[in-house]
This record gives sequence, structure tokens and C-alpha cells, in this order.
Amino acid sequence: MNTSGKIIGFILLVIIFQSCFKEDDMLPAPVKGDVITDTIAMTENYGYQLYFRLDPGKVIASNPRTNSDLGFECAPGGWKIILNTADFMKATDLGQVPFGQPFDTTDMKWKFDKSDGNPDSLAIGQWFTINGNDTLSANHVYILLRGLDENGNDLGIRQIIFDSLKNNTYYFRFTGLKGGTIYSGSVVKDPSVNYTFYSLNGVGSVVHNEPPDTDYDLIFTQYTTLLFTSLGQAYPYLVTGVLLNRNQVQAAVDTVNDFSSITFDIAKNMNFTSKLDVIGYDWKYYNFDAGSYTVRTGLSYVIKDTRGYLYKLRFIGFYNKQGQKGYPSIEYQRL
Amino acid sequence: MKKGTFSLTTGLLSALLIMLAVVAAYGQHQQATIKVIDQKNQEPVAFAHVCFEGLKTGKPKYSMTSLQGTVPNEIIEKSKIVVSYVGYAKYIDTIQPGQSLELQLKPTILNMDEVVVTGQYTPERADKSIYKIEVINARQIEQKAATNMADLLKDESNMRVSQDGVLGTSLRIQGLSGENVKFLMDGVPMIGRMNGNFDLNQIGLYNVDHVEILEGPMSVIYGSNALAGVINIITKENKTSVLNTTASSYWESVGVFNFDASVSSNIKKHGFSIDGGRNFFNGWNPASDTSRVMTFKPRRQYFFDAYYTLTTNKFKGKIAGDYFNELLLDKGPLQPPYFIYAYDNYFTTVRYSIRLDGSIKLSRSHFINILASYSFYERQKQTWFKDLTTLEKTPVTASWGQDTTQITSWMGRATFAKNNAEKKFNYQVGADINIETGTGKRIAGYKQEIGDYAAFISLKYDPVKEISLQPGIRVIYNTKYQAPLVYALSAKWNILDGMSIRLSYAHGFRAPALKELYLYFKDVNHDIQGNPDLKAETSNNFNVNLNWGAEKTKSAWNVDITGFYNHINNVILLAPAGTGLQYTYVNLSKYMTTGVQLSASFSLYPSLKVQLGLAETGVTGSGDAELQMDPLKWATEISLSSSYHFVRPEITLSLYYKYTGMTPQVIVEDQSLIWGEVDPFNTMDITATKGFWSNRIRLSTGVKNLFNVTTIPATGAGGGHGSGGDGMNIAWGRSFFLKFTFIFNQYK
Repeated sequence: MNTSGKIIGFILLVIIFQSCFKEDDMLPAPVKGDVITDTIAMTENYGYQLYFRLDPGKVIASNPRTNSDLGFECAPGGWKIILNTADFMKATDLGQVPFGQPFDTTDMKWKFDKSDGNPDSLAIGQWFTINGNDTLSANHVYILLRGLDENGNDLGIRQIIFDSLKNNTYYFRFTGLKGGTIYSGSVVKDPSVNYTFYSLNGVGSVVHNEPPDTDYDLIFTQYTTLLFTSLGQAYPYLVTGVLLNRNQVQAAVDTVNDFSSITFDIAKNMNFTSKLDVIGYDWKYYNFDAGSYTVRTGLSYVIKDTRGYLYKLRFIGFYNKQGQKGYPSIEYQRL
Repeated sequence: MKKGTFSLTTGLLSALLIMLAVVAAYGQHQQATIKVIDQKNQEPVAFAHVCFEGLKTGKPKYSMTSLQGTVPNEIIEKSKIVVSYVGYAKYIDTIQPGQSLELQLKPTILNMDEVVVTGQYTPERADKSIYKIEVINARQIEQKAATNMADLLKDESNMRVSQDGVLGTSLRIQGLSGENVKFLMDGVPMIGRMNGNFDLNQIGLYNVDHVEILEGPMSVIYGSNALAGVINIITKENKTSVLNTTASSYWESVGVFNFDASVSSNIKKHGFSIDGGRNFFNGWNPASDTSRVMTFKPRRQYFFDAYYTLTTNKFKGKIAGDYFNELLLDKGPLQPPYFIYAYDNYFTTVRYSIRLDGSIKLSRSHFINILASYSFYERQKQTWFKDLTTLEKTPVTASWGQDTTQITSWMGRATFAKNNAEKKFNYQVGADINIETGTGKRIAGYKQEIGDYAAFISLKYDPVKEISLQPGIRVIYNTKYQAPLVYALSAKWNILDGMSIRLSYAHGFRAPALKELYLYFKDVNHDIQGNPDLKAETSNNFNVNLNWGAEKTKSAWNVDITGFYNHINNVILLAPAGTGLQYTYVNLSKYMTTGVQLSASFSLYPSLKVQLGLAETGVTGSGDAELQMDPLKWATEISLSSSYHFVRPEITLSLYYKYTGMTPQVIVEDQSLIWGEVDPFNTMDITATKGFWSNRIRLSTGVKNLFNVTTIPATGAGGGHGSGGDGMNIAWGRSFFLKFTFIFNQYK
């Protein structure tokens, strides 16, 4: 074979027997109509609480979940004090014992605030007695385990006593578990919000986390709830999910209809509830085989917002494009 | 002087001058030639290797016969001439300068005189070796149309090749997993095991001269990882002055596109070779599965290697380097609810090594060998978020989205041997050092190192001509474990002409490898974690082999029977560690494999070769040293390979069949064993090979996996973490292939 033949043969061998990775076929983007898609940035360790409004579909306010410990009810006649369950807080009522002395947490029995918002199931229950127009302390001392931050670090322990609620102002004192300097704190009711919050860090400070109670519908947050073993034993667990705007918003769960087929006529007849955790965390589950969270896209919710309008909503993702969890994606539509 | 007389004289003188010139010229071009022909068909043998070795100087000169089977005799002193070629018995004689010679090469049917180096003091004929060595030569590689080691070994008896879509192909020999098989490339240990095994798809055959397989314990000579045996891949080396250029392309209907090319030659004392190529596989799914998630993942490989040799009378040095790069795509499923997004994993493997190899011939009987190498291995994972509505991809920056593991290895080995076939007593002493370092976030503490320092001695004693005894001992210092003494005894008895029996015993030790101790590998389908509390494996291994054969003028037959027994304590196995896909390495207190292998071959010159193999392998173990082992679980294998050469059209048809019987699999759970089974299956490959234009072009074509085996059901303990669905992935179904090889030789 002459040289030309060799070269031609060589080139043919190189060219003919070659191939490359096949590109995927492009898929058409889904037609969504009036359905809106949003991603809520709770961040990878769920470090933020975000207040979301369905109309106009935006996060109204957000705060680091560790910036407060207690919430004080602001409604007229309101008296409830809630724990920051996003930090896995718990409390115990020691009764009428001297305040400010050192305590040992061994054998203490702890309580959590139930995630459905039932006022009968708060860790700091009725802390007062009524005297005329004033709410006076029952002089119970509470020990507060402040919980964990987003990196799992312990936030510490406080002992606290709630002194009174006078002239729309809560008065209380707090110190460390072993006693020491006693700090006085007060929180004035703000009638525009559901709760005003307080941080027990350092000397203490008031924290205004919530936007006006008519300005948001949902809270994306971590919170503590009770799970049950197969034997029916309850145990507290920190979950990531969605709570309703208490007192303002209601919701219903639809496990039957496909999201696209839910109409106003179907939605208006659903059983709505004010339970805070009706949406909760159960719209996703951890898939051990895949090693990641899987969203139940077949689960839909109908929400009656602060103005009474109905929206259908479902979750369609839990990761952002960089593969980080803590970025739930929702799609929703006003009915 | 008269005018006419001058003319006659001038003419005669001119004629005489011309005649003298012609004679002189003819004498100059009248070169001595050696012609090599086939003894049986009297045809010239092209491309035969010819070595002239001066009897006084000992200086070797290599050449190759032309298409006409000739090579010029350019020697200047009386020399030994050695002519060799695949399929022929070696021819040895002496030759004088200027002597022309026609010599006949005798076709050998059984390839019994293949020369091997693995485990030998000096290169030795396979049938003379004290060890049972199987050789797969270049012709067999061509007939199988094998493109990588997985392809080559899958039909071998007593070898089980299994597939994982991401981790690749792994091997079991004598019922022992791939951690116990030492892979060497020209004597240098290979690194870069994933889940304990090499991905055999990454070991190409483009530059392989032959493969030497030693089943049975070789821990004294080769140290750790050699309990089940050694596979030494010997690369091609051009010792002739012929400028050899080869290009080869391979296509398989499933979507394989391979190409490689090489150039090599020798100039006086200096030899060189450069080769490289690209392999590509499109990925495969069963026809019923149209998803983008592939059972066998697409991959693209680039490879390159080169060597330089310097050869003198008494010294041969070689420096060689190789580079390998593979990209494997693991596409993820489309995500609900709209199925327009996906997460894809890209795995990039880079492997390179540099090795120095020196051989010094101190005298006719004394030899020194030195080997040193540096090897590097890196496997990188990058996950991408793919939007299929725009085809854009975004890198996943979350911690689970990237991962890189690196392993480096420094290796040094020196041996001194006295080897004289006429003496009763010979020996080899040696030392080797292996330092392996692993880095990566999947390695505890990010970086870990294991050092292995050893010295060994092997004695060969032939009390009588028929009997050979070879004890050996190896002393090891390992930086992670208290290593026991390793010792072995091998014996060979040539009972009759053509009949020999081999016996061997070895006490072995294997330190857990870096990845068994410290590695962590997790993705969608795998969750493998190292165990730093692992103990080293220790073993007792026995092998007995009877070989009996005869070769006549037109036919030859051979029968080979091997029995083996391996008892390993604290054997390290990959076992489920909890729920789902979690696996870790555990010390299974006792593990035993035993079995028998029978091989019978028959050849009828010039056309027919048939080889039948039968292997029965039993495995058992006990999760607790105090407990008795479970009854043996047996696996049967039957293999048949045959070829028929049609003389006139010069076509060779080959058939490779293997029956793999029900295979037991064990899972360790809470110190007890749970047995599962993989169902039996059959595989068959058929190939046709033909040469054109005096073998300048070789064409191979045929069908692989004729019975279209894909996934085999696995029951009980399951198909292992690499299986797909409810079964074990075996192969990508039936496929057709075509291979072209161009060979250009430029003779000087």
C-alpha cells in the first residue's frame, strides 16, 4: 500500500470511529397560567424565619431564628407567653420557690409549646392571677432551656419569674440557672402584631420580629412538634415547615384532588382550620435510599388569607439550584 | 597505435572494468539473508522477532522479518540466533557473519513455551515455572476482540466479573474478592481501587503484549493483596529496528467507539514508543427504559503512554510513563412535579505513573533487577443542576455536590538472583517499599498514609532433575499494623515427560487498605464507609495442580486439574451497616473458599483448537470465630472456547461460551451470615478474524453476549450495593462489533 493509501486509511479510522456525549433533548417549559412559583430562602441550616404574603407573593419580613426567646401576646386581653420553638426551647414550672437561687436541672420535667397553637398546651401556661383590672403573678419560677442554634450549639439556661401585666405591659425578671445578677425586663403590647418578642441574651432586649398581623399569611420556620413512636410514645422533634398566621389565616389539606384541578367551587367547601401547623412539615420526607428530601407534590393546600381570599398551594421542591436544602419552592394561585 | 587497435583495447578494457564493477556491485548487494518459513505449510513467517547475540561480546541485536519472511544477516561475529513468534516454538541456533540461512519455525499448538516473568527469578517458559501460570497472548486478545481487562477476563474459568454502573467492573478469583488480587503493570502495582476493586474497564488492552495470570498465593514475592493471585499486564516493547506504526479502531453497536495508535522503533541501543488513543461509550439502558438515568453510564477515556529503553550487553534500562483520563456521566432522574430539572454527577478519574526499570546481568547466572515508580490516582465528583428547558447546567455548591479523593504511591523494589538451570541450588533475595498516601474529604483527617517495608528471600532447590522445591519467606514492617511473618513453599515434580504436579502452600497477610480504613463514598446509590478498627487479614492457602499433555505432529492435547483451599481469618468484607444503602468494611472472622478446576484442551493442526473448563468453587464463613462455619455454598462454572481457522480464505472463527451457575453471596448482619443467591446465566461471544494485504490490515467482527444477558435476578441477601433494581447487572445485552487494525512497518 502506498503512503497516500496509508494516510487516507489512518484518517478514515480516526474519523469514522468517533463519537461524543449526547446532549439531552430540550423539554418544553410547562404552561402554568396564573400559577405563581416562589422559592423561600430559609438557608441550608434553616437559620431564618420568613413571613410570607400570598398577595403580592413576597417575603414581608425575616429574622434569624435565634434572635428571641419568648413571645408576649399583644391582643387586647391577651396574656399568653410562648417559647421560641424554632430553637427547640423547653421550660419547666418550679412553682413558688425563691427566685434567683441556684438550681439543678437533674430530674426536671420539661414541657414544649404544642405546634398547633392550642393555648391549653403551652409550656408557660397560666402564670397569673387576676386582681381587678390587673394581671398579677402567681410567683412561679420557670427554668428555660433556650435550645440550640442552627449549628447545634447550646444557647444556655435561664430562670425567670413573670411579675405582672399592667397597663398593657409585661414585667418580669430573669437571671442565670445558678443565680447571679438579676435583670428586669418589660414588653409593651403592640396592638398591630400578634406577639412581641424578647431576647434573654445579656441584659435582655425587645425584638420586633413579626410584621403587622394583616400583612402576612404564612411563616416558614423551624419549630418543635411532637412525634410518636410505633408504640404511641410522644417525643419532641425539631422540624422544618410552615405555620399559619395565628388568628388571621385558615387552611385546608387536599389529598384527593390534583393541584391543577382544584377550583374555587371545590375549595370553598373544604374543612378549614386555624391550627397553626395544618400545613406543617409533612409535605416532604427524608428519602433514605436517595439520601435527600423528597417533596410530596401530590399534596395540596387551600389557604384563606387575611382578607378571606382563597388560594391553592403546593410544594414542588426543597433544594436550590446549587443543591442546598432549606429552599422550599411553592406554587400557588388565587382561586 | 593504429586507430582500430586503440578501439579494441579500449573496448576490452572498458568491458573488463564494467565487469569488475558489476561484480563488485553485485558483491556489495549480495547480502546474506535469513529466511524464516513455517515448518508445516512452508509459507514465509512475517513479523517474526529475530535476536542475534554475539557469542564473544554477548551484545544483542534485534530485528523483525519482512513480509517475505526475511531479515538481513548483518552480524560481524559468530552469534546465537533466536527466532520467535506467537504460535511457534522458539528457534535457537548459531550463525556466522555473511551466512544465509533458511530456517523453519515449528507451529506450537499449546503455547506451552510462552515466556513469563511474574514470580520468576529471570524470564522463564511457562511450562517450566514452578507456579501454574496462565498466559493470554496477543493473538488470543485479538480473537476475543477484547478492548479492556473486563472483556478479557469475563470468560475465564474460576473468575467472576461483576458490574456497577458507577464504580465499574470488579473481579473475583477462587471465590476471593478483588482486594486479594494483585494487579501489576510491567511489575508495578496499580493503585486506585474503588470499593476494593479496580474498575477493569479502565485497564485498556491497546498496548498489551500479553497478560500473565498466577492463581494462588504470591504473598512472599509480591506482598499484600496477592492472596488470590497476581495478574501482571505486560506491555508491548519493540526490540527491533523496524519503525512500527499501528492504528486501530473499534466499534460496537451498543455505542462503543474506540481508537488508538502507536509508533515504536529501536535505534542502536535506544528504543522508544509513543502511543495513545480515545475510548468512548454512549451508555446503555434496556430497550424498555427510555429514562435519562443509564444502567451502564456513558464514559469517555483518553490515554497516552511512552517509554524509552537503553540496552547494552549487560544492562537494560527502561523509563516509562502513562496517563489516563476518564469522564463518566451519571445522569439523575427528572425531578417532580414538572420533570424538567435533574441533578447529574460527573466523575473524573485521572491516573498517571512514571516507572524506572533496570536489569543488570552480572554474569551468566547472577542478575539484579531494580524497579521504582510513582503513581498518582484522583477521582473527582462534581454534581450539576440541569435545567432541561434551557439545557443550562449550574454547579451544585452544597457540600454533597463535590468530592475529590487522591491516592499517591511510591514504590521501590530491588532483587538479586542467582539462576543457573544447571545448578541444583538457586536463590533470589529482594526488598521492596510501598508508601501509599490518600487525601480527600472522604478520608478521615483528610490525609492518611500507610507504609509497607519488606524483605524477602526465595530459594530454589532441585535435588534431582525432575523435582524442584522453592521455599520463601517475607518479613514485613507495616506502619499501621503488626504484620506477621509471611512464608510459602512451592514444589514441582515432573513425573513423566509431559506430566507434572505442582504443590504450593503460603501463609499470607493483608493489611487493610486506606480506603477500607478511612474512605467514605456516598452518592444516590452508594453509602460506603471505612472502618478504622479493622484488623489485618491472615491466611493459609493451599494449591495443587496436575498438568498432563502431549504434542504430536498434527495434534496436541492437555489436561489441567487444580485444587485449592483458602482459609482466611478476619477477612475484610463490604457488608451492610444499617438501613438502605449503608455499607462498611467488617472483619468477618473466618472465610473459606475451596474448589477444583478442570481444563482440557485439544488442537488439530492447522485449524482446530478447543478448550473446555469446569470449575466448582465453594465458599463459607463464620461471623464469629467461636462458631462453626456454615456448610459450603457451591458455584459451578463451565467454559468453552474454540476456534477454527479456514486456511484458504484465511479466516479464523472463534467461539467463547461460559455458564455461570447459581452464585452464593453473603451479607454480614450482627455477626451472623445471611446468604443470598444470584441466578445462573449463560454468555457467548462469536468472532471472525481475517487479515488483508499480507496482514497489513486485520479485521475482526462478530457478536458479543449472544444470549442477550442483562440483569440476573438476585434473591435472599440481594444483589449487592451495585445491583440495579432487584437483580445484578451482568452486561448490556447483545451487541455487534467491528474492529480494524492497520499495521505499517518500515524496514531499515
